[in-house]
Amino acid sequence: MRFGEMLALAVEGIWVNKLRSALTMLGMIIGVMFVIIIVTLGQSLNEQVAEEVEGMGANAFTLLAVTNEDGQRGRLTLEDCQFLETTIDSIEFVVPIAYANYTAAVETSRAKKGTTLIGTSPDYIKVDQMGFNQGRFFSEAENQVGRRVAVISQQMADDLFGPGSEAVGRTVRINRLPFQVCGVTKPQAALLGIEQSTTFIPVKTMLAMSDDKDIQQALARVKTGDQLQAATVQSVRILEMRHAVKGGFMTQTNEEALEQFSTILAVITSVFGALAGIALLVGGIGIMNIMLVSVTERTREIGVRVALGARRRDILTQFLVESATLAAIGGSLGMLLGIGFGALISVILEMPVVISLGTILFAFGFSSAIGIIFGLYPANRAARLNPIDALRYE
Amino acid sequence: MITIDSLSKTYNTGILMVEALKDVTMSVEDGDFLAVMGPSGSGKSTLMNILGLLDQPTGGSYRLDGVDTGSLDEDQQAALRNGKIGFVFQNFNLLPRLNTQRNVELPLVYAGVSRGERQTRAAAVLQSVGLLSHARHLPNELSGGQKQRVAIARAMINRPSLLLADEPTGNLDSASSYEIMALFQDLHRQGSTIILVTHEPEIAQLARQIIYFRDGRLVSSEKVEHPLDARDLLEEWRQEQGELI
Ligand SMILES: Nc1ncnc2c1ncn2[C@@H]1O[C@H](COP(=O)(O)OP(=O)(O)OP(=O)(O)O)[C@@H](O)[C@H]1O
Ligand SMILES: [Mg+2]
Repeated sequence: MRFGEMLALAVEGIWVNKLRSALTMLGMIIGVMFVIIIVTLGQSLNEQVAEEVEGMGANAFTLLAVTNEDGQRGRLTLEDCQFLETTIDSIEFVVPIAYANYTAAVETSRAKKGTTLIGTSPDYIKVDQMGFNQGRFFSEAENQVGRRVAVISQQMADDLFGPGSEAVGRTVRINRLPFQVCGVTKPQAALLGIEQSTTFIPVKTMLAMSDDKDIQQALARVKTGDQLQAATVQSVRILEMRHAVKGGFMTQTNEEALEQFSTILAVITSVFGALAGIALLVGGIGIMNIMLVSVTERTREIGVRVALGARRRDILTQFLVESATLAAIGGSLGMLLGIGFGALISVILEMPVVISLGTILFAFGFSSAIGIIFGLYPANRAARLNPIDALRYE
Repeated sequence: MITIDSLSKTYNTGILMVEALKDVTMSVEDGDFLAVMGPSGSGKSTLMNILGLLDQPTGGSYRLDGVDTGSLDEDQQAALRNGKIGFVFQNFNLLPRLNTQRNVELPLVYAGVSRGERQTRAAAVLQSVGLLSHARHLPNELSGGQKQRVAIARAMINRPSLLLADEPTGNLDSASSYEIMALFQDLHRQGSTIILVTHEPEIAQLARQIIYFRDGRLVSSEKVEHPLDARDLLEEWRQEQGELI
């Protein structure tokens, strides 16, 4: 019998028992759907982070103060940034980053909002490229004198002054102190959909607002990529000398950060993937079960077909094609749903929508394979039936 | 055409052995029309199943057109069932999901005949059994007699030289039985070799030879001296019915 006819026969068989087939497919649909969603989201997240890192520049690294084995903690100051920038030739610039470990309040007479407050230098926009809807980032001069100027997000501007209002030049209160808005940033791709309502102010201004003279991080950029490794080692050594704390500093290149993230993501993806795999397995067992029922129900049909000249091979393929078709239809439906939901979630979380042909082919091939593997036993049982017994079956 | 020599078949049911056929020796020539009779359990169906290559004997040999069937592998047997043998069952055995035409086409499907040719040939055999107009009907939309005609059309479609029928009229009323027998007689006239099992002496009289089984043995064989014509019987029967009314 030709394959096309086998397929038509299988589809017919599936169609006759619509409800039963649909219920059987459910396992496959759910399994494949989850696999696709997980893979899609994983790829999408990876892509987004890669883009983000790309934006920061591959030649940048982060400096952090940490606690060493003896319980001594390293420190980072503005002077350290200055020193590193001038003493290490390969370093282009060092951007200080000071942030409050609380949510700062930004308010006008109209509204009061929480924000992540970051104090930094104008070089910051070289590592975190952002666009402006209004105004500009603050200048080095404003930073040096510690002026109270702030860069706020578009969302924040809308909330504080009303949608579409001119914000630049107007006054907001940050932690009760008056600041003049100098720029409004374009909305950025939000990581995992967390709306980043970050407010930037000059680092000097930030430090002046509290007694703390330390900053939390520094971002350094080297001129060429091959200098990166040496620069991190050099920076740590200098900082250890300046503060006399051995082991009190840590660096992380963006590449490392990306790698780390990818590793974590891969682990999460495989855990969920394994769960989805179990769903697929259950789907496969469901198919096996229904195929066994089908073989029993059609015992007499099998006998008749054999009496009319069907070979064992014909019977075997008929049932295999039927179970593979059942699984493949289930798999395709699951794939469509998975792509749909995956894309929807990506859109909601403002992540790039990644649909890879590889995933699609894999899902289709894998579900067909499950159909064949789990159909093998029932089909073999059908093919081994004794025609006399089959014909006599009531 | 058929030569069987000391054929025996023993079923092992676990507790007891049932000897369904004991030392049966006989031959059937091309163009014979044989009726097989005998009490229930005498081994008629067992013989038919072996002749139809649906079952294997436990002893003796069965040669079909000079070929020892015991030496054939499963695929070769399937090919013979498909091309050389046509089987008609007491309970019709039409596939319930397929319409008349597709039921009739089945042997051609396994013979690898193209869809177009299958349709043409199905139409031709359905025409010859008078059911072309019912080509799109499902089995449960047909009467018993019609179902059996479809089954005969299906058995004939691959032009087999041997037609085996196990109580083909067992589930049918008289009129339908005569109609079915008329079809067999037509096929016989066209050269087919036919072996049919029946319990009804009247049906057996429509064949050319009758063999009797008892307890798995072939006990006697007789030639039908004056074979009747099934169409005459059908006509007679109709007149009787008319007089009754
Ligand atoms: N699969 C089987 N297993 C065990 N015994 C069987 C089997 N098939 C048939 N028999 C036995 O073999 C003997 C012959 O059976 P068979 O069906 O050939 O009889 P038959 O002449 O066709 O009877 P009937 O006229 O009732 O159809 C019977 O005793 C029956 O019980
Ligand atoms: Mg019988």
